[in-house]
Amino acid sequence: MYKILVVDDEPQIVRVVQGFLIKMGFEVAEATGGEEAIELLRSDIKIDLMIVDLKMPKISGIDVLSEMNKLNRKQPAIILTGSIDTSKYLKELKDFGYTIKDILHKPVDLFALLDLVKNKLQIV
Amino acid sequence: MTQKDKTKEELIEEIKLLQKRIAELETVGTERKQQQQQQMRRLATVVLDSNDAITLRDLDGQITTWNHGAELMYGYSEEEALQMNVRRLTPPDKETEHTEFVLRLMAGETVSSFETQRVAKDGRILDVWLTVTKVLDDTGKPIGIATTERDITERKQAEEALRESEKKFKNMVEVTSDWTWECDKEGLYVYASPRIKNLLGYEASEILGKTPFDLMPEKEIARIGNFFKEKVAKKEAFYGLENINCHKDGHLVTMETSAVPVFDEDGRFKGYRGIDRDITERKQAEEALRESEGRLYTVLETIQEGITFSDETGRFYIYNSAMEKLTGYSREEADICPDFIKLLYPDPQDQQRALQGIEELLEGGTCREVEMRILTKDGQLKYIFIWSSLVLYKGRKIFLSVYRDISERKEMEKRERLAQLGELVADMAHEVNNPLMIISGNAQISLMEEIQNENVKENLKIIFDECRRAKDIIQRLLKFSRPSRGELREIDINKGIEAVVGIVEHQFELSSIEIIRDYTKDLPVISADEQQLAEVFMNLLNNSKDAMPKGGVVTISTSLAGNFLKIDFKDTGCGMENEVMGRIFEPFFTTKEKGTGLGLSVCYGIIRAHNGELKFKSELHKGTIATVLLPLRKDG
Repeated sequence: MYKILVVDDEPQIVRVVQGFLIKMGFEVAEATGGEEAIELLRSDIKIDLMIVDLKMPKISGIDVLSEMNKLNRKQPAIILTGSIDTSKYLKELKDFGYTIKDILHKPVDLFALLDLVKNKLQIV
Repeated sequence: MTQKDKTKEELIEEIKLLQKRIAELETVGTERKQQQQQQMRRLATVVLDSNDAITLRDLDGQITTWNHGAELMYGYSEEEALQMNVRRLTPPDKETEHTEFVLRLMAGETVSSFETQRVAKDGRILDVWLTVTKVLDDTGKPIGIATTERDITERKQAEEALRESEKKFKNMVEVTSDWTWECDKEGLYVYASPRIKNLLGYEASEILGKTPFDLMPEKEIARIGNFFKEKVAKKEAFYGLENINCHKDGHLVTMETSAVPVFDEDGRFKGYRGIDRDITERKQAEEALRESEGRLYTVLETIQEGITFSDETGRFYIYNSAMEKLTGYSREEADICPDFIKLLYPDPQDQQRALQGIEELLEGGTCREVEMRILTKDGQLKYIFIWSSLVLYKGRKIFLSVYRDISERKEMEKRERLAQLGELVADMAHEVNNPLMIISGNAQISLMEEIQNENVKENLKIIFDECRRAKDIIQRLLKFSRPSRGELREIDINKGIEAVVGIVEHQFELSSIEIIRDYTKDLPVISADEQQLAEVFMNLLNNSKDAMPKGGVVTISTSLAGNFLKIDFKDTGCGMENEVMGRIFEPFFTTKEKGTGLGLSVCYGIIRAHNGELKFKSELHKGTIATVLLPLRKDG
């Protein structure tokens, strides 16, 4: 069973995404905010995919991705953001190996999210 | 031969001859006498008929002869005169003179002619010219005096008048600030009034014998010499001839010369007589005025602001080229327009404000500053700032107005306002998208549960759908406020438009709207985001359609306009009021029942992001033209 880490500073968003993914048969680890996410990444927890918000207080989504990069964790990530203009993040994301196709905009159709998750995990 | 020797016959013969000779001599004497008498008669006639008074008197002064001329001159008849002593004709102050002259005459002195005075019968004192002759008897003894008297009163008066007049002219000539002169036929001054001293520093005597050219610098002689020569050759008068002369101290003096030719009694040309006036100051003042006018003109024509100087009737005395550029109307057009205010200010409210402003100024207001919108001749709406004031010019009330084009500033302000709004929207979007995500996500999860109540299921669906709509709105807002050009590609604009037309054409047909394509072939390709442009075209076409609920025509034309591609969407719809026109790019401004008020805001954002322009021209009830200008690539 794939384990997905859901990171967002809004607990209600974490709860919705987590609820949906569990319904769809995934295992979910949750982190409310960047600090919690980095803590988890630094632990030896197994994660197959991360869904992460960009704009979060203190530790941003970019910080989390950067840390993941440093930790040499190679799992894929999906960026789920409330900001529509993501052009200013694109360069940094590219440095970590992500493209515009890895970005989803809130509010997202949960099934569209599911499609991308499956795609990333190469589940047919 | 002796007397003794003469015979009787000889003597008789001699006597006969003598008798004959006597007879001959008698005849000659008679003839001579007759001749003398005849001469006397002629002389008498001359004396009697002469207009001069010819009188004779004895040594006592008793008048013995009194001709017709004397009757006319003194008013006494011959009958009266012969009863008179000559003293009656002598004025009291001339009596001594009279007595003396008679004594001198008697003493043998020759007194021929002199001037004196006489009293006429009516008491008038006459000036007379007297010629006197002594009258002698056969023995040579003086027995009387003959005089011929001529009335010279009139001549004397004329002489007096002439002297007076000459004096008067002399005074005038000497008093006037103009210089009066006379030249002979060689052009040499023969008279110069003393005024020359004030004009050129010379004494009048220094001028005599000089010619006008002696007073001019070489260059001036070259300039007007021929003109002078021509005039003199034709003996013509000339007036107001400007010429430059050298003052004795060397400085230049501009004079204005007028002169007439002078002829003697026989009509022979004698020279010229004229007047010179110093117009140096006037010329300098004129030059200064021209200078000042030139400067003013340069300022007026260089300044960027429109400037007008007009009266109450709407006549423009000044209407500079910046004003022509600003309004598109020439001064002539503005002048002949019966109501320029109405022509210039399309908005009735602005018209009212303009009229009110004029009234305020006329009622004593000092100056006004007001922002207005004008419609130029070619249909552009411009924002202007007008400063007006009422000035008194030559006793008349004149409006001085300065018009500054603030369209660009307004446009910038609008752009800034929109950019600020964009920032706000972007911040807001993030804040709103999170709750939207929570709402829609929860609705979606809930829909995955077993739900018996269909209403609840429907409600959840509605919640999910509306969340998506809210997301759309926010996305479009962002597109307008922060349009990021996506992928740029080379685009054939005609094909790009045609792609959109293909989508809407069927719908347009159903709404009885005809689409006319007026594409220019082989236009250069441009770099643009095809999808964004498609959105603009779609929006513009839909606006046209909404403006024509009863059907109509949309004409789409493409062309080159300088460094831009120009695309016009022209409809035959309801058009827009100026009030509406001024706000069409404002987000959330809409006149449609179901509009979001974002369509044109988005279009505006997209076109700006392409460094292009989106403009509208509209006439109420006639239609609207939307114009998109897109820059050509610099390399092509």
